[in-house]
Amino acid sequence: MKRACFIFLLCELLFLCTILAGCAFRDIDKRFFVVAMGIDKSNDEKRPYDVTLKLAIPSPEIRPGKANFQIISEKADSIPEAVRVMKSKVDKEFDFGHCRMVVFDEKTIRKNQGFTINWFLRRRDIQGITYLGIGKPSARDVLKARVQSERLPGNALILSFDPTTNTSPYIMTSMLNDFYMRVREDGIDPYLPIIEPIKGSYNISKVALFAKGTLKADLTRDETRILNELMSTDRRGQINVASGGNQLFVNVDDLKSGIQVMLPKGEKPYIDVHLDIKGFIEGSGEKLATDQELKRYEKIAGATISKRVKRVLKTIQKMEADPLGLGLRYQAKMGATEQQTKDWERIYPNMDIRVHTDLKIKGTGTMY
Amino acid sequence: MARYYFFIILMNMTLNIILNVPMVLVENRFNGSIMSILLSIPIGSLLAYLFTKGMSRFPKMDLPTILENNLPKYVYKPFLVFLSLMWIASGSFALISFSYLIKTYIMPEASLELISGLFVFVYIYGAVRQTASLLYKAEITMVIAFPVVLFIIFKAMRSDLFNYVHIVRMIHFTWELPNYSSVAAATYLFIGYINLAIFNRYIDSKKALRWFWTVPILGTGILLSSFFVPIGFFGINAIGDIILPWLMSADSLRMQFGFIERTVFLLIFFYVLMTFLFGMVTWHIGLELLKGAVQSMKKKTWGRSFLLIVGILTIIFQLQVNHREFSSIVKYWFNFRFPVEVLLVIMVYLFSLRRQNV
Repeated sequence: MKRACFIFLLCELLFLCTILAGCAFRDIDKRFFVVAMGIDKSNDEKRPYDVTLKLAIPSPEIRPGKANFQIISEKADSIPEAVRVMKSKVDKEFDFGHCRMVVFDEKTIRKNQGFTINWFLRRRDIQGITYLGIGKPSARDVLKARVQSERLPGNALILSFDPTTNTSPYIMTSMLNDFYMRVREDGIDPYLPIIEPIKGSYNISKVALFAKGTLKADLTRDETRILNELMSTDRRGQINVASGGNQLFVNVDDLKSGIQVMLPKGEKPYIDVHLDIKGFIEGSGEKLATDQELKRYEKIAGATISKRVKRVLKTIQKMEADPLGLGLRYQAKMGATEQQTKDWERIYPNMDIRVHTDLKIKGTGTMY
Repeated sequence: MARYYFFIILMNMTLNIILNVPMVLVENRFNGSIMSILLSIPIGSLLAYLFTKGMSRFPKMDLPTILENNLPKYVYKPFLVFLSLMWIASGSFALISFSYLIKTYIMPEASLELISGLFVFVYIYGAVRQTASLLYKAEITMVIAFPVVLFIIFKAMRSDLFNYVHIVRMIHFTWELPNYSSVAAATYLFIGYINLAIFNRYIDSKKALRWFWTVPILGTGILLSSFFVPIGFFGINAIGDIILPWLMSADSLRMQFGFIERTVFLLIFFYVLMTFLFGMVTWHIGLELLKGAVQSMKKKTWGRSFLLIVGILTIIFQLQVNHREFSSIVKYWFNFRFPVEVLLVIMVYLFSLRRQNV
């Protein structure tokens, strides 16, 4: 019996060996990891897509600023075609499993976003949480930039867009799956952060808004921050509320935004924004000793914030862009058929915006 | 042993979150899917209750014995063969859809035949075990996998990209007439109870009835999350572009602090475990039912070679059809399965009433 068992095991081992050899797996040293992709529009009309790949070159030591990479690019009439042609330029197989960053230039993404990102969605190895952005002056310049603190190639951009590592409220994060949802649904519009390479790093502080399927315009840095706060992400920062002669900085601990589309009968429809902010004072020109003073500043600062938010929303409304999904909220109230989409397009440009801010200053730090 | 009843039911519900059921529901989302879901909860629970109640009057007996006692020979034997084929088909369909999934997400370089071949081997290995050890396996797998699935559902609902607005928009389409194929697909979630046909030998169904109220609750939660969570991520239009909505939704999640960043791999890993279990259970029951009809199947070699032939047929079937054809075949199968299920349940319930009178 024992002997039969032994023979059986031996046969099994031999059988397993045959599987091991032929499972069609490529080893890790036979793969080239693509860490970022850039898509530019080329001047060549027949081959409009200029695709750039940032390939990681593994190095035995991981040290800041020592991240090695290689940039290759190719022009073709489509993205998959470009990638296929590029395979002949390298010695190994591309692996897109670590491609967490895709950068477009303004001209490629201006129209037909659904078609442009289709390849990324269809590939199973490109993750749904891939970050998207617009590169200025071009996507290739963003990929080429060498970041001084970078330990792994292409990691700096990913870390800046990750809200757990970088909480700057100026950085808007746009992910592939979410972007697709925004492109496909009526009543919400996509947005993309703008990445500008500077010496030794990146500057990401603006956002480009889309409306009705085309790239409309960029928001300024401060407008971007306010939009980001309205999106109720985890990103926090300081709010500068100048009131009178005093400069006051509030460090935001907790910010909740409630946005509603109000459709009162017989009245003009309006957008109701309610902001709940809790925070500590980080800087003040004056001494704030008493509770009355705090309460007074709460009120003044709240009014300033409301005014600012209203101005930003007006700007966005004028572009007819809808990154906050107000149209979806309208549909949630009225129904989600084509009729409602048409109605919303008529209503939205003329809507009033009412903003109410509840600012709670919890303390003033270590000083009065 | 009553708790195994719930593990089997849970297995069926959880597995169908990502496999073919949401495909049908999403396709009909504007034509009464929500109404069908709402209808299928009482229908599914009622069928489950009747069957369990019926089986509880036959303690320690399985379906072949019950049919043998109540029906003439030339009726029950073909019927058992037919039922056995239905069971085996459900396992095979899970195998085929899952090997497509593995091919797209995990091993794009391996061939489909290889993947489904490995599945077939595991299925056969499990299916020829004893019934009791399959029940133990069901418990172990579900205790490991179900919390992970719950965790992923919970994580999905807490995600920044999950918009409740889309769900509210979808709810506007509630008042549509329900359609048959959605009902047939949605009731499939509840069908775990039907494995009592063989497991009744070990499971004390009278005890299981005491906790029966958990079945509609679990079913409602799982069915609704299976349908609505992907819609929360992709909205009501974009969801129609996606073949496996749940996997794309899991791909929108990120485990910042986990050692695997991509949630979809975690999900697939635990679903592989569940697909193995599901296949083993369905093929085992298919084989046991066949044993009731054909005496010679009781021999080990006969049973095993039968399963081997079934496995080879499954692989050949998979090679013959592409993914679209396969999906439409699965839809037809759902539609066909529902009346068979109802027939079987009513039959068993009527027999049980007769038994009480005697």
